[in-house]
Amino acid sequence: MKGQPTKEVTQLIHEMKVGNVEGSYNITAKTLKLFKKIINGPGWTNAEELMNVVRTQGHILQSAMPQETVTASIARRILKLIREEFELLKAKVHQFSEDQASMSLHKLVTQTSNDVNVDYTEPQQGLREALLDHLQEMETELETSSENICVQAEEHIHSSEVILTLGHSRSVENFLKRAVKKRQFLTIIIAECAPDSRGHNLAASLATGNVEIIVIPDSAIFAMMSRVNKVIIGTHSVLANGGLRAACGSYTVALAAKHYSVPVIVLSPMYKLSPVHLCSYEQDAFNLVGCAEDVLEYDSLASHSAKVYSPIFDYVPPELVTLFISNIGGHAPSYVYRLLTELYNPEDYEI
Amino acid sequence: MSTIFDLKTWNLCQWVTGSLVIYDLILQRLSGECIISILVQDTTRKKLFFIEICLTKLKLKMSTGSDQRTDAAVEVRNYFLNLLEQDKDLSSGIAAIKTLLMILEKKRFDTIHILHTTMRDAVAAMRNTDLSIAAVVSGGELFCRFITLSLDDKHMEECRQIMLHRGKIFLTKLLNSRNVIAQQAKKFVTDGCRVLTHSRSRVVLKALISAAKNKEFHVYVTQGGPDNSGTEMVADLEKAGISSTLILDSATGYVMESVDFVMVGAEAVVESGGIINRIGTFTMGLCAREMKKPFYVLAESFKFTRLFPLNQRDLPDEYKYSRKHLVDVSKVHPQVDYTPPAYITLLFTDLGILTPSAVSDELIKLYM
Repeated sequence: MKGQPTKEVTQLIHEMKVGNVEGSYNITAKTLKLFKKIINGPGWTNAEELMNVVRTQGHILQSAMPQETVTASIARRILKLIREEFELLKAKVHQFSEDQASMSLHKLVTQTSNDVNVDYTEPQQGLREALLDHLQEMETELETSSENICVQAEEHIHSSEVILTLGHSRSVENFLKRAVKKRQFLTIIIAECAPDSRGHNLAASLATGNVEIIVIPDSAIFAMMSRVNKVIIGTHSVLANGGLRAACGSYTVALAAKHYSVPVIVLSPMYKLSPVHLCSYEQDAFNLVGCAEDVLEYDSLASHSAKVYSPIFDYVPPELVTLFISNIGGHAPSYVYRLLTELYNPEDYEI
Repeated sequence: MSTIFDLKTWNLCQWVTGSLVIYDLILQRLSGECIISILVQDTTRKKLFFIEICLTKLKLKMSTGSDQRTDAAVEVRNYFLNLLEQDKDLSSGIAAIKTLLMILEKKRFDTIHILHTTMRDAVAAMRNTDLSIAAVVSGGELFCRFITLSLDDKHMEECRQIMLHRGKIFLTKLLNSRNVIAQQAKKFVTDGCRVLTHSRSRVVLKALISAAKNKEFHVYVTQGGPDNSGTEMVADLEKAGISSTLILDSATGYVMESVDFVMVGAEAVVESGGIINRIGTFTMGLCAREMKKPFYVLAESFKFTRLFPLNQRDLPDEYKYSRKHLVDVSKVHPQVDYTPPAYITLLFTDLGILTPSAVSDELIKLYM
């Protein structure tokens, strides 16, 4: 797919690359704003053109920052929105509507026309307004997603429980803060997640009078697991099979939890769901290698002869996850495929 | 054409001769296509008696009429086998659907009931072959379902046209399904990887060939007893320039540590998301699970079957044994086994890449 990035897209890519925009939430919010501007702008006259623009820009964002799946996911959601709105408006005019939403066995059997593709070039009155309305809804959903996850904290965390988490995830931070407010005698064990040791920040932010906080090195995860009641972690993104791409060390945590049959709860707002499969571990852009300075200093003696890696992500297979908590409720990993079909159109999986 | 007898106007004498006339007419006409309706308005006992005679004789003829039914069955079977003979790459499920479509096109149906019985008979006739019946059953069932779904409150002929039209689209989609699957699966075959597959599967072959266009990898193929079709698979792979090794079925455990993933086809996908496939697939699934290797299944969506086996015994005998052995199965070897969904990582279908739990969702959507 060819096309030039718009000025805003280039700007966003630049900011992501230099690290000015960090965290899935911020990236999602920025991307959404960017697409809103495109929809608001004069660059399109019908749905087909708009879809092409969204697809091109989404593709550019994705290939520039392949590890940030949220950008492409937002593009996919907008594409689905355009399809739906277009068909809705069309149905209002023609008084009929054929469900084109997804490929299913049922549709395979009942399809009457050979022409699967809807003609999106027809101009539709009010498409822009309808889309902007929906984008507003999406923005609200995004803003409230963290809060909606937090309100479920009480259902999952009870008094005197021992919770283990890893690194510093914003969702987990808010979730635990809520739990600390409502429940007493909690113990929170935080694996520091070296070499960044972002777990220290989480510990600092959670430290109040009525909670016991224990910070442990990553190597002690297994040793501590036997006394843990629940593992609660965040994730970078959720893959199509319900697997996780999460901070390095999550696999260790999940395996140790499996060994002691401790439930693993993953906090993931809906925008982190991505219809991507992990084809192989060598897959492009599945993992990133971070700065190795913290692992082994550049001027140390060993650094001349040793190779040092500091990978950023872990793949956690779906069978190690007990429950996902998203802003719309709790789901089993086997249900992720269903959520995906509701969020995105299968035709947009390849962007 | 239709002949109407108005019994009300007949006297007794006419009844005696009349019944014979009716009987003769019935005999003559039954061979052709006609409807005989008997109007009975005031029925005395005697008249009833005669009608009864007529009907018993009619029944007699009807029972001898099953000759025609067997004729039709032979015709269906021949057509079906002929299709498979002509195109070796054709799946038996698609051949079954093609055959049913042919029947729908050639024959005239006056009522839904007749249509349904004809279809059921045809499926039964095709099941009566020595081929593996799993795909025939699921294909046939899908087709029958498709007929029910296309029936609105329309005239029969109109319905038939809709069915034919839809049937053709349906068929073209099915014929393309192997390509769709190959496109999805090829991303999972990476450069330098080693793949294990079980015996011969046309869809796995297609996926591997399309992956080989820009990648190099090695394929281990099990021999696939009892008919050793793995040999054929290896020949096909070599022809496509893919390096491959033929291994014994019993060597599955041996090679498992050196492969990256397992990729198999399926004869049927059941409601739980498990699969029915050539004997030895379950063993392979167990080995793959033990050694933590991904186990991928490639199957077209017409293979989705409404069956919910919990273990090997639950599989119907006609799936497991060839027809000539069905009389006594105690001493023969099963031809297929059931691999539960827990051993399957992903299913590649023309509906997309599915987790085993998504299969029942698709089936429910169709059959509810």
